[in-house]
Amino acid sequence: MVKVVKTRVEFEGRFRDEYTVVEGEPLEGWSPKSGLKIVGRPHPRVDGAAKVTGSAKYTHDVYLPGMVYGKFLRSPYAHAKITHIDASEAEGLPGVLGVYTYKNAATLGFGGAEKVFKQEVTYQGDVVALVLAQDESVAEDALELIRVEYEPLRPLVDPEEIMGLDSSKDRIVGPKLYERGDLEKGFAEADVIVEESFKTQAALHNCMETHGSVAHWEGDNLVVHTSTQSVFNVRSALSEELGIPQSKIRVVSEFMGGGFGSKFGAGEYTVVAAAAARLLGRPVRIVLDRVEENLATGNRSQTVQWVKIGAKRDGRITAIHLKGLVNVGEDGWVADLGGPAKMMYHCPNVKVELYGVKTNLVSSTAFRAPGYVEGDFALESAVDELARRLNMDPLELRLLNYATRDPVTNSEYSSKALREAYLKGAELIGWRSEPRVVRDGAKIRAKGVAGAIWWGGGGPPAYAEVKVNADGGVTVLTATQDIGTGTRTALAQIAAEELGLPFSSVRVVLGDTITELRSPGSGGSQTLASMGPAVRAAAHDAKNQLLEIASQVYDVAKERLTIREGSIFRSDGSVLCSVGELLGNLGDFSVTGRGAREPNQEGYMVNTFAAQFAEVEVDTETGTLRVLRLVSVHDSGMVVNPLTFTSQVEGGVIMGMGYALWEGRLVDGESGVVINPNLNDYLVARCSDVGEITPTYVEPEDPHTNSLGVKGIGEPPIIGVAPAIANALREAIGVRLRELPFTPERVYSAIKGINPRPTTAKYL
Amino acid sequence: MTALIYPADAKVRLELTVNGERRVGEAEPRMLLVHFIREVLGLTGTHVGCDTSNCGACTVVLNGRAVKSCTVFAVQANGGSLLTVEGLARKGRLHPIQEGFWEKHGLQCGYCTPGMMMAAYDLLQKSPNPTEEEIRRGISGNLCRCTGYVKIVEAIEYAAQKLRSDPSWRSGGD
Amino acid sequence: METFILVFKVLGFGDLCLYPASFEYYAPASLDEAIDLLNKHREEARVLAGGHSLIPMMKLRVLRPAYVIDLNRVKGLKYIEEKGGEIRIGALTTYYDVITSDIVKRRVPILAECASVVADPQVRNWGTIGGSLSHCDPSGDMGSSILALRAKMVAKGSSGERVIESDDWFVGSFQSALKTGEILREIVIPTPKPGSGGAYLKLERKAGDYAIAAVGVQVTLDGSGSCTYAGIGLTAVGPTNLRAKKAEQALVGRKVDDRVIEEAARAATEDCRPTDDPLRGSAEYKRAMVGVLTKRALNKALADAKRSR
Repeated sequence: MVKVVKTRVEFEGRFRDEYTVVEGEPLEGWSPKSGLKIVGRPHPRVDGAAKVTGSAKYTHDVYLPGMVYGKFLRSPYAHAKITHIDASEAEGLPGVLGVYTYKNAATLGFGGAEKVFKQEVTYQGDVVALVLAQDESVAEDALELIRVEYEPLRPLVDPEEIMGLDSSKDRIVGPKLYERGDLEKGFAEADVIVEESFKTQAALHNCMETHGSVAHWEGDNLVVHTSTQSVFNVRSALSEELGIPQSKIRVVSEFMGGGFGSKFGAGEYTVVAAAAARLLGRPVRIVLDRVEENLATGNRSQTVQWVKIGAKRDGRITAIHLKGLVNVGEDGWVADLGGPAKMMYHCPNVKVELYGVKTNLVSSTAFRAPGYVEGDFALESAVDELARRLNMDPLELRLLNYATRDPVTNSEYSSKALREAYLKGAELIGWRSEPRVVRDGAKIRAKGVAGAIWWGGGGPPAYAEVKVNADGGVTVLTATQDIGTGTRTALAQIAAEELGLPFSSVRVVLGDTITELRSPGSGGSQTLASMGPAVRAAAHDAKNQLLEIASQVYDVAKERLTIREGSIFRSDGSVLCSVGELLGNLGDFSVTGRGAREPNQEGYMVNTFAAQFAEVEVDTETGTLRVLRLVSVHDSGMVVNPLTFTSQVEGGVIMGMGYALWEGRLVDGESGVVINPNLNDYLVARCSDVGEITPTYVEPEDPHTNSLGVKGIGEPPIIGVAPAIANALREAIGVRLRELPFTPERVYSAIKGINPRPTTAKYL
Repeated sequence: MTALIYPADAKVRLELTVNGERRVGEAEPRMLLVHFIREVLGLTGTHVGCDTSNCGACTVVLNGRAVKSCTVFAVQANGGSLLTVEGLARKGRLHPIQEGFWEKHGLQCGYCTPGMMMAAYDLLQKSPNPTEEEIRRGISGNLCRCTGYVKIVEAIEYAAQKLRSDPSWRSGGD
Repeated sequence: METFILVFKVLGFGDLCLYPASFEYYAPASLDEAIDLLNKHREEARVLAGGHSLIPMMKLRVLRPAYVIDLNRVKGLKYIEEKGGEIRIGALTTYYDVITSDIVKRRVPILAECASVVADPQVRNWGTIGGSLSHCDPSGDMGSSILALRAKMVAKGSSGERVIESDDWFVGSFQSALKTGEILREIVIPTPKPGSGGAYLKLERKAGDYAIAAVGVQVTLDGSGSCTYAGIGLTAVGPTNLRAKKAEQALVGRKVDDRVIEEAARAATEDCRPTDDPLRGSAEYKRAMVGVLTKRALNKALADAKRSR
């Protein structure tokens, strides 16, 4: 019996309703106590071989016969009108197949071309022209020959500046408001009030593989290889932009070099490549270089935040007020800085006011826990300051205000083990057993703590098929992505566990829309939580079919049979036959199990939590900071693969460190030009910059989330790292730094009590 | 002996040993070695990750030393000996470095992995028993955005140990 | 500096970065041939050594030489020798060669310390001392240790060879004393006497980055603990690598104690001429760091000097 059920699904903190098809009985939930044999073990990655031999083909590695290279000419100005553009010399260069500007963009053959090639450019890196050539070298030569004259217009890049201008009211979005309780009353009740402002910088994803697509047509069918987190999103965008049905579009992304939230849609480069390929009748490749990547693909928003927290003398928080400005670039969405303020602590009176400010920079986009990384920095720094004012241990203050129910909806949590995480982390870093501050000549070492909260649990729609072949081999068919997280491996484990077949017999197919197995793509920390249960359901279906067949072939009651380690066992423990034998006897027979992600349970809030502890060492004479140790303890429900799980934590923690110490888009405030749009000057952490990282977890049972008890780990590790470092630094030098990143000069100036000279270069 | 002269825009015929095999290909003087490797030799394991010689994803071993192949012209490799990621395995046997990266989960998206392994190869040739500090320094020319490097260091330690104890891997290479 | 060049680049063209403009390539077999070619093509030609300064700039098309003269087939330019009270280093010697050289480790460890903080292992495998010095980047590390050692550069041109003192070598940003048609052939370092020590300390935002500021110190102490020689070179705090002459003067002829070190460090902050770098530090901060680094480098160099008596 098939039922259609409506269910609430969360993605990046935003909720929507989805319909899902429910077939068969719900599966018994898995938990760490279920005695699982394959799930929960640190299996090496199934895609390891392809990646270590160099045979894995990423989008950048797709070379098709007759392929044409496309390259964009981009605006050097943050805001300008193109007064003159002459591509004739470029067009005449041998090997050039076409040059497109706003003058002839319509000839590319898709409606949105005029939005891509405009006469007014609105951020540095905005598209001015496109060259199509038979070689990349020729394309670059041609770019140089395009003559453009600009009339520079006044750029506006600083949200604080914009807020003060009457003429820029149309650049302000919001306010987005949230309120609960009575804020005034809350502050009136408070014995101590902390009020501080904080600034965070824009961070650039800088995935190792830049954005890019290779498009070609097979008749009137479009095939696109692209570096993406969601092949289905790309397909629907292409369908809309090109005006062709989705069924005529195939999007492939089997191996991709990182996303972190930046690769969820079809970029301009994807649509243009597809249109150009249709026009030329040849494959077209447009792959961005690193400068374009830094200028034109989006970023984590720069923010300015004001936090006011009130508490009673005994430490109970009575009121939280957060105001924030979010730099959304040209037209990005306003990330929710208020998540932690609303959700972390038991506090009856909370108000959040957020303003988005549009600037002459590329539109901001999702970047690993958007809004929460920025907001948690401000909140957890303020909470730490509150602890100092109250003369309380910062950990004790957090535990005192621990929320046992979701403060926003008052629902029960599906599971919450943050308290255990704090205690485990405290133990590991010696929070109580070792001195909090140690002086060593010019160096000071100190420890700090911060908490983190994020979403989890995933939801439909996600579909999978599990096929068992005549030789006993298993194929898991999905169309989700593995953006590096290890999805493939985890899904293989789940299928093997549910089926009772060896892990080594399972292979996973993903990343191709041709399977038509709708999946949510990979991001929002929900890949495993959404796709995993679908795979389990499909494996369960396949298993049932196998048992049914065995029952018929051997004339044994199905209820008396189980599958384990590749064989079918009778209830007395004796082997009936191997799965391979069973299917082999039937000729070229295979079984196809189908599964869908079940609906989410109602009435429970599914959140993930983390306790971040940092030990830093400051050189007080130079201001340089080194993170000696970072203990990162996570509550993400059940851990399917400890190896891939801890690897995610390590990667997220280092990204968080980069956010605290080295990363940041530097913009010239007057011209709006980005000063560091490359890996020479946008400082990504290197191996020798990083100290010891202890990634670990607590594993609560969670019967109220999906059938795996998995909540998600992609994003939580980056949240809370910056404030943990900030709080450790405050402990060390007695002064709080409230502006990220903590450059050596900023730390030095804080120690010396100097106000650095303002410059036109700003972290925006 | 007079100078070699390659006119601009002319395709030059290059001959070099690649992963133990004699290979021939054509390149303009301005073609970077990384493009020659990927587009002319068809070895796409070596990746392009940036444009300012910072990320190391293009690292290969040329004439016995690790180099970022985006910062060398293909013509400079003429007559030389090149080792890329595709040449690490021998007769289907994974090199201990490859094994280490797999076993110890020293990779996630895998895009930086080939360059990272070639840098590790160079390090272990120079320093077969490296300390953790030396390993960290040894791969400080390679960026990874996914892993946080922790398991990469473990992978290289694994490989170092395996190489020291397994003599069959000690000879050869470049 | 690199950042400003890149800003210019982006303002100028937008995004050229993977293919240099076309050029004719020469790979001469002798230095004389290379010099002939340089004389023939003059400003239109560039010499290729390690390539790790030249090629990135060519990829950005900031430099567009019509002729590239690859020196790597020329034999006899890669060596480190000690003879007659001098250490001679061939211009094509790589950073890696310097770091692993026994002669360097024994006689002028400052050079190895300096080479080992340049960029990363891959760059150190290929980048050359001659290339670095000819490139003359004010953020280049090697120049400061060369100044500290009062090394001499031997340049070869069509009219023969000439010796250029380190004080005369650093003419301006990216401008060495080499005339058009000349190639740097060798670096000659007077072997430091017994009782010498050196140190190179670099403050950087993260591993492999350009310096916020860096200081190279080379000192010699006599039997009584008096300083008979002091050479101090400064990186990234002026239009070129700079010699901290006032700081040196504060040391020479004096018994070096903590107070003298403080004086020298303070003098070094007056010797430097930093400008603002939005990424790495303001002029004031860099100046202050020169003081800190000079003091620390001096302490280390002096300890080595005492040990080597």
